[in-house]
Amino acid sequence: LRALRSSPIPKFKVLALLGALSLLLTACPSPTEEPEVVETPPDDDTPPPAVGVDEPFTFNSGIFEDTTTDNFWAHFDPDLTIWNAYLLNETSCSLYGVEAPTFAVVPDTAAHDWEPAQQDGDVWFVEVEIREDAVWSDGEPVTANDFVFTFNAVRDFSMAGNWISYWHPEDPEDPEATAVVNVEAVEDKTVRIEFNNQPGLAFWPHDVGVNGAIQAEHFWDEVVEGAATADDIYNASGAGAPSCGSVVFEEREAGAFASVSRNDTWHRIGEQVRHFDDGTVEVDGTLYGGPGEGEVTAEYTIGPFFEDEVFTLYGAQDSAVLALRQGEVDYLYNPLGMERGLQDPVLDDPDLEAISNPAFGIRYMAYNFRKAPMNDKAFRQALSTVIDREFMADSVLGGVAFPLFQMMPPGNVAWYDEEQSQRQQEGYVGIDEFERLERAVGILREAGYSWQQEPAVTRDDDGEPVDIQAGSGLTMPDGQPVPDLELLTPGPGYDPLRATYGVWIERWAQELGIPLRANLTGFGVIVDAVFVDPEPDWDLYILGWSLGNPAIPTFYESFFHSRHAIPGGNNAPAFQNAEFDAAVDRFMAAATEEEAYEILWSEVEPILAEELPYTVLFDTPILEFYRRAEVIWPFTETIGGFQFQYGLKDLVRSAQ
Amino acid sequence: MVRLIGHRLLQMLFVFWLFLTMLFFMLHLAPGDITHRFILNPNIPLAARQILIERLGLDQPLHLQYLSYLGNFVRGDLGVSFIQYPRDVTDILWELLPRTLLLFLTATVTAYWLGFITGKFLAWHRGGTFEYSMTVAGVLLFTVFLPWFALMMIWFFSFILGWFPIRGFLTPAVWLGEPYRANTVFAYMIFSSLALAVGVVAVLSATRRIAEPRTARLAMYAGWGALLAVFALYWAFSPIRHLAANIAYHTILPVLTLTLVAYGGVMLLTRSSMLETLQEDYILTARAKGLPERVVRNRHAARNALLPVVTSLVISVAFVIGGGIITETIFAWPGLGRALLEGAIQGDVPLALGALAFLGVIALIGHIVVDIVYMYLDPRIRY
Repeated sequence: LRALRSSPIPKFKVLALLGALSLLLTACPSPTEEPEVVETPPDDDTPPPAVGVDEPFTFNSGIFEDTTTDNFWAHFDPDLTIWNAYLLNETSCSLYGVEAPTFAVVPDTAAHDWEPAQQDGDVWFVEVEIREDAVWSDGEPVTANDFVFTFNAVRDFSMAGNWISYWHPEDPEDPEATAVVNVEAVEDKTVRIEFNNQPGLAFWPHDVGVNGAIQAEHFWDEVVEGAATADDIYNASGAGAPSCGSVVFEEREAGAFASVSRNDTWHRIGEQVRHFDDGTVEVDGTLYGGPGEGEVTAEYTIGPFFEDEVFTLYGAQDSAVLALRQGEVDYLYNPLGMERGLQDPVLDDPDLEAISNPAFGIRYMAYNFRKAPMNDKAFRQALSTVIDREFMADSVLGGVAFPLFQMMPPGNVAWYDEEQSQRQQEGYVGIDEFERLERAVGILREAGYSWQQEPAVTRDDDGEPVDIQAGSGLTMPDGQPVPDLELLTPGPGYDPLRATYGVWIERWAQELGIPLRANLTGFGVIVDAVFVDPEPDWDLYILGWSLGNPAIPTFYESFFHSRHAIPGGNNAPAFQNAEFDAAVDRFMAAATEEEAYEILWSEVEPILAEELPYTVLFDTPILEFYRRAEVIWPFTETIGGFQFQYGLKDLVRSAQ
Repeated sequence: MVRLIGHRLLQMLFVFWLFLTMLFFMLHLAPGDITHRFILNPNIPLAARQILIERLGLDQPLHLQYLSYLGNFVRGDLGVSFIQYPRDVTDILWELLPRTLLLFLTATVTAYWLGFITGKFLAWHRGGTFEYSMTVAGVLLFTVFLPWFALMMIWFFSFILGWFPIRGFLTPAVWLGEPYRANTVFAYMIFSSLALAVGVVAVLSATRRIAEPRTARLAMYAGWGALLAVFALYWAFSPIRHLAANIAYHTILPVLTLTLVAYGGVMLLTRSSMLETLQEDYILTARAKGLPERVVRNRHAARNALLPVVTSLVISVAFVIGGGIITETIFAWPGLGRALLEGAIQGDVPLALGALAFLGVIALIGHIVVDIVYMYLDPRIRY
């Protein structure tokens, strides 16, 4: 500045020169070259779709967390988020699929219904014929080589996330575990998949057949061949990748929106589907999963019927709801359903249709079996008895939650057993707090517990219970006093329902004489203490699970088998029961759904109901809204709501 | 001056190293990490999480992670984002920077310009009803709870009146199928605005040299008019004009909100600073010399009252990221503040660290700039 001040050139000239230079710079082309727009000539060979777009329309949906990738490989591993799944999941295909709302297994790219694996020497195998009309969105046929290519990439690059959990390549550290050992192309349109053990339903057809997504070899082979690690594949752009699913990825503007378009070449377009009361699904006259008895519960033609779907990003649920009410979007994706505080004005809006569906999840309290008295069945049963789940759901939580009494939520009608569930609920349902306390005291007393001051129900002159006198000085059967216990509970900022539950459980436990305090803390703190700490020292905690694929409840094995009772494993309570392990192994190895169902309700669920590694508490329904004047679905009752099926893109139609 | 800058740079390096080290350990001490998303999915085996941990380098002891991060940082490598794996953090920050700059620079410059002018005016015309009401309004705007105020602005202007969009920085329907990316358009908008701003300052500076006030004013307006005409012509023939207009339309409400909130503080600060200056003896001297009121106000009072306002301006520019967290979240404006928040919440340590390091660098540079500007504005100041 001093130099400028002393310069013979007037200041304004320098500034004017700078201004002119800036304008000149601005007028110059930007460093980012304009992409060349290439007109693609219409392909005369492409057959017209069997089902036309009713009235060409755009399905406008809202999301409130950004998508992070356009690469399906990355989406299944490091970028595995529900928001990416809403965008990308339907851009791929597999051999089979599950058809909502009954979730029966039906062919996707497979030409026929699934068959159990057969033994061939040391291996078990399936050979599946691929539909002749299965093609990628660029017109190339879907072949067995695409399956071979995908599996080899997953195995060779040690891909994790969904890739490893759906394709199950052999784990060198656990070679005995059931795994896919080889995938080969018998013919162009016939793929052979080999397993090292006889695969149960969860493996085949479910994980490998239903979820084993594929990618196009002709598009990705150069990227995969040139990759040194999986990161090189994940870093590649997925734009332009062909789709064998119902939609094709179109574009993504980070922080703003993303879009997909209808895949006109999708092989399932135009299929006529009927669901029956017994869970059977009929696709174009062929029955799957049963004899097709009872009422038809849903009937539709498969689309997609939209031209494209645009996912608009909102910063928060509040503004997304305003946009829905204003008509900016037709539907909001939300994995947890709409927040309670936002529901009232939306429920009153005549332009919006509200649908409520049970979630496929649970919120539960777990016990640390490594420590006393949590390792004592009587203690767990007594504490479960005093927890009044009906009262909590109906009165304290104001009807926003529904009580649960067993691991399988009633919303999964295909796997739920009403009769057996009723039996398991005995002792928990229809009794008041006084009776609960007396029963719990009885359970503890019978197991050898004692009190300095035994809890008691005080009664009036007519013998009616009026109050509870809390117990104190609870001693375990070995004579040791019950130590101070801590119940780790998510705080009200994260989940007010669980926080409230924690406070009430503390109260009921103290009435019973158990010195338990609810510690309302951060979600991350609980996860670290329970799942990450190599020496878990917690007592009890409250968390929740989404239970995965409703078509095959594999979570029993994942949560409670003793092989997962290791640091970081899903069996965080370290529940170990040989009888249960054997039952759940048989469940996982079952070759038919009937067999699996029988094992589930005669062995697996009863053992859990008796042993109570978890006290299942409640869950909340998924409440979703859509603009009834804009879009419509052929059915609205489906577990987890539309969002659970990624918006049912192949079924949504224009209401106009 | 050179010694001062050199000395300050050395101080900055030390402070920045301290800042980065503290940040690194604080972020790692927070419970939870990105791999929790795999823990909470019962379908995903433990092996998958282990692969992820190794891939992200989280299996290394913390001190080794720190040394590795520091080494990479010195080489300009901020690592890869965990939530946008395997994208470079630097790449993400460069993508988001223009979006934050456009929003906050526009709001900050507008707020300071308006705030300074009104603050000066209020101090000069002290005691009237207008001054009282503006002061009350200023206090209200200065103390308003930003998240509430922003939501009210959206509710009133977007939902009730329908004048502005509810969210984001663009309308998907306008952009669908366009061959241009948003950042290209942002870059054009920022560069053309900068060019216009430089031109405006150049015209102002040039016309001040004209002795005759009326001619000077006319020349100034003519120059500004010509600049605006060039600016308008440039955009009228630009192939991306509709996209830029769409972004500009989305910018109005967040800029208005930010401007109003910042304006209150600047106006109050200028007013009080100006009031203090007006008590000084040199103002009395200037008046006694018979200088015109305009000269006393603008040259003698306002220039000296400018010092705290300039400090506040530079610091506020330096902290745009911090202030942006709330605004960018509520208006769904994908800038650095939002990235910082997402990185911190989701355990994306490299992204959060990168955004905070960026904030730290800008803040430290801001302090040096303040020191230099002080010396320019007040020749009595020497360090």
